[in-house]
Amino acid sequence: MKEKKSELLLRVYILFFTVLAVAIVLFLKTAQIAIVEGDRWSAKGDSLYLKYVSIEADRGNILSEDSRLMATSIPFFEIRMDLNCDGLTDELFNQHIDSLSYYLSRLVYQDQSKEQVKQRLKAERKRGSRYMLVKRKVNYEELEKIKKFPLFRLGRNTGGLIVVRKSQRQMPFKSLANRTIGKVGEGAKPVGLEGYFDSTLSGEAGKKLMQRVAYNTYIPVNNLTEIEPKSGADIQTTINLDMQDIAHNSLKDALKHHNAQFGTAIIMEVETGAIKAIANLGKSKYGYVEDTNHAIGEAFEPGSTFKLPSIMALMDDGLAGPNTKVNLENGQTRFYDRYMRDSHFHGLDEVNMEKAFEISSNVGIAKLVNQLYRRQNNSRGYLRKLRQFHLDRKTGIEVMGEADAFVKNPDRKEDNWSGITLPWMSIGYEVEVTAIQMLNFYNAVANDGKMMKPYLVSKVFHEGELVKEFKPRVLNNQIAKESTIEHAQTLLENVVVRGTAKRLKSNQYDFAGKTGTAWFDYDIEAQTKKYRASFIGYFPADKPKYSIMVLISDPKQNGFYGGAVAGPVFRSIADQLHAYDTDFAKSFTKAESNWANSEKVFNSGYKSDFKKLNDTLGFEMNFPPTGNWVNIESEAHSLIAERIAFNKSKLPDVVGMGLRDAIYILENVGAHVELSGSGKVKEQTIRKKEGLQTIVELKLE
Amino acid sequence: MSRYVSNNTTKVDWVIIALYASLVLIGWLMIYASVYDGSDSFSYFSFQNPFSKQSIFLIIAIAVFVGTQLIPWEFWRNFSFPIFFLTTLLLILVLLFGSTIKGSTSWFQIAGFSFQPSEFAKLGTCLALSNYLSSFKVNLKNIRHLMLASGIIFLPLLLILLQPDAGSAISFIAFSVVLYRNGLSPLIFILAASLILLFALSLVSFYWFVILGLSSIGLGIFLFQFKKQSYSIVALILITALGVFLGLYWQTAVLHALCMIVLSFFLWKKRRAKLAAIIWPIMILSMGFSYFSSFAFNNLLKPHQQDRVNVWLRPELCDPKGSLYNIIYSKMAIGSGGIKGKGFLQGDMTQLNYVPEQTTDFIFSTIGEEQGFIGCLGVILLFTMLLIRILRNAEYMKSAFARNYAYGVAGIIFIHFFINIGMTMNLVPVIGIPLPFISAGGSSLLGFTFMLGIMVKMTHQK
Repeated sequence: MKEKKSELLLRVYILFFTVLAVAIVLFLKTAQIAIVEGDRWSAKGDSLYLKYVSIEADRGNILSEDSRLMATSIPFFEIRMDLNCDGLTDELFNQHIDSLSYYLSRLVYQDQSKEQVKQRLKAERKRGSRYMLVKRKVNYEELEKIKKFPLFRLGRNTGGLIVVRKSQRQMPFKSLANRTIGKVGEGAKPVGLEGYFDSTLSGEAGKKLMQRVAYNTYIPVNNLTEIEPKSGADIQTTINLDMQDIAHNSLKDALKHHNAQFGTAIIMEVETGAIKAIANLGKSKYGYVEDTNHAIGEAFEPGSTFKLPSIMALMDDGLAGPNTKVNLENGQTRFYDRYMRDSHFHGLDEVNMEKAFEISSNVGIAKLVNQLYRRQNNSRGYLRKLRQFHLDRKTGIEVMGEADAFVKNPDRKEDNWSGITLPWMSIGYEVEVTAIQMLNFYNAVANDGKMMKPYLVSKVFHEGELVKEFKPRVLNNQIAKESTIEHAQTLLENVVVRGTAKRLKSNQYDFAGKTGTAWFDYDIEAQTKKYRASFIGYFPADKPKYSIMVLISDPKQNGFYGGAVAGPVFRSIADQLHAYDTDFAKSFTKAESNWANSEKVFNSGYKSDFKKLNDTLGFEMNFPPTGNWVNIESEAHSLIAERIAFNKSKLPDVVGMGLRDAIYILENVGAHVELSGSGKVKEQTIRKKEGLQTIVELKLE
Repeated sequence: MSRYVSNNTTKVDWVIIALYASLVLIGWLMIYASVYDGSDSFSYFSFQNPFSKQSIFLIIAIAVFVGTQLIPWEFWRNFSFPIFFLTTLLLILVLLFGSTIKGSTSWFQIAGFSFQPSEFAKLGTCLALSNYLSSFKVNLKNIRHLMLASGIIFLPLLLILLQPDAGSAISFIAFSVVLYRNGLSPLIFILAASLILLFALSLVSFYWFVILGLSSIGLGIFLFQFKKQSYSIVALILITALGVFLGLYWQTAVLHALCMIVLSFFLWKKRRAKLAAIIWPIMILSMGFSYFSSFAFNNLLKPHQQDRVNVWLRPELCDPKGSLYNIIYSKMAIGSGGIKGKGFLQGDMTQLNYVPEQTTDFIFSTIGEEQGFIGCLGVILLFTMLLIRILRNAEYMKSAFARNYAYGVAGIIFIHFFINIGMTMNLVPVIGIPLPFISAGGSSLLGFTFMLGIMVKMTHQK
């Protein structure tokens, strides 16, 4: 019995002991995990911290008027490798490291040997690297290749391949309209169309689960995106790249010629207000580049171009007409203690307002405005007119950063309105407006008083579907009385016919416009000043299609005045537009159309080519019904296409053709062609006949 | 000690009540921490939320505990068999009418609540077994009595295996502690432990190592029967090591066998043949079992069961994103808590729901992450104290029924405590059983509360 009791006691003790033993085992195991291995688990735990990272959506494109890409996002990929991913066992790693190193050294790092790459991979694996950079920038094709590399092809969790998609904004036309397209970037102020349409272009960011592998380094957990980003919409602008090119290069040439600080040139479609081109070039160490949006983002003292609103105000208020007399006092007068001079000596005294405007007399315009408004003690009347002309406010063009106009107000203390403010304002000083504003005003004059809202974006597409369309918008149906507008148009035409811009006159088309030369940074003591030359005009004068503003700041050589500096740019642009725009073509043929005989134009060639050209230009030309080759002759007012028949016994005559046609014809009859020069075929000589081989020498010009 | 007992005969055991209350409170807070996701929109009282469900069950559990104190303990003894039959009936009914969640037909769904009869079967089994074994007529040396006692354990166990819910079924093994206390030979437990060990070794190590190990042990035991054992043992170790080193596995094993045959002869001459007669069959059976265990593992276990064993013994074979996932993340949560833990509601892994089943089976990892090693140690200590207290109370019980019952309660709590906490750290295979009083789950909380409450009531009467 006693034995049994002690055995029982033993059993009970064994049970107590078992409980204690298990408690100690659990205690030790917990200690092992939480304390001994704590750092390791904690590091591993940390590494598994996940967070949602937003993924940028594909940014939409900015397209030109004819849907050419002006700004686009090119995707590229960053290749990383997780050398310690869960599925990458030592066995797997050792099995594939050689072949992977081989491929990497051959196709990715040409400058490193296979052995070097291998050593690096090994070292990084040992170091515990989970986000090793393989290559920073890889395009899609390269990515597809890399994905097939040994190990990499096993995927993210076993092979450790991490592909990070990135994108880069590119402008295929480089500097063209660069500033108007603008930029949106971290830390920088958003500018241009990119800034204004940022929310449209950027789409909606998606979300992706990312895992932390090192301080501040996250890698995507899997290849599934949790929330797909919604790609941004494309915007189609009104910019015509050819016109942009014309404006850009014409402006650039002038800036170089005059060694100017910066300049801007804007082309606007009169009827709609669509901006067809907008160039902004500034001097930099790389030459003239698009730096700041001078056209929209800066307000200047406009100078003489502001005389148009001044006289229109007078006319619209019925205070003066083109024939109102004014005494120019030989080009100098005094307002209080300040003298005002005309820029050129003219020796005129009493003239009418029309003349004063044509010669851009400061004295004449300032006196008229000052006297006629002052007489009524009504400078506010003048300001009311400026408001009516929309010169006191932004145009509302959809570009980020449009500058405010500054028009002084006698009722605002801080504006320092004084007795000389009104006369000076009337000639474009003590007032600041932007180039786009001035152009818009002139455009309204050209458009018979209807002011359009200048606009740059016509359509918004999302994934190829039209989402939104911006129609031309009228800001003001009639900014001034019809008679005022008519007078203003005549006055502007006269500026070109016999005024400050008469040297710019073209015999191809009529245009109207106003020169402007503003002083700035003037220092009376030091007798130094800088000029800002401008020209605003439109063409053709009778039925305006485009209005153009050119502004060149601080020209340092070869002239300073608007007529000499900015005017030629206007002409250059207008000339090229005139040649470019097929709407003008008919009037062109009516004019001296001997282009068929011109040196530069092919006058014979493949019939269907000419037919196509003819259809595009809308000429009325009859083509012979048979034969593939034609020769174009020009008569007084028309063009005639004649069939060319080639005689089999004679070598075809290819003079006047383009090279492509010429070679086609000659080689078809078995001749060998040698050539010199470029252009159209000018001369054709048979040099040798070696057996059956004829060698024809073509001279091109 | 007897003095202490006599002083406390009519007193309520506040120690156990305090331990119980602490564990339940910890569980309630940890479930809250597991469910809490750190977001502003977090809703505490959604009906689907395990925390709000647990809160309701907590109130019910308190009522149950108080209720068990109002019922005379004899009620449980007198009704132990009806209760056993009732709970067993429920196990049959659940197979027929229960709803299947995650592949197991273990639940009755009633008005949005799930009710798991296997949790109550533990109470029924414990009561019936205690009652049966407390009868004077019953002697476990009688094979019929032993079979009947085992039958009380295995009937519900098999019914639960049919669900199938291997985890809950395995926990019934714990009732064998009552048999042990009532005189069942410890050899059975040693044998079972040895087999588990051999099974594990056979899977973990190279097959020939196990064979060589067994033959070395056998030979070693023989050598110990002769003089100058130390020399011969050293020789045995050296020869075996050399054999392993040269890769001559089976040759070495054969050499061992030959030596043993020779030694058997000498033993026979020394009239110690009985030892040889025991060692030889054990050795050969063990080798057979070792061979069979790999076979059984590969052919008899279902793939998910193989996975669980592999996770336990051979984690390197497992897919970290698959079968190993739970364990890695559970260890990570515990490990990242460090000594002090990240603080209540500060466990980011818990908030981000890294660890699956974190309110139920893996709640210990929440404690590990937020309360750290100190918190884990606290929970382990609370359980240890509770178990020791129950065992101590058991020995002071006046009736055999009460004593057996207390052992049963201790056993079932112990096995849950060991397996649940052990599995979160991969000390034992992942067997989905809850941590008593702490894991979310109404059936489990109420079942354990019933069992403990009844035991506390019995302690009053000791």
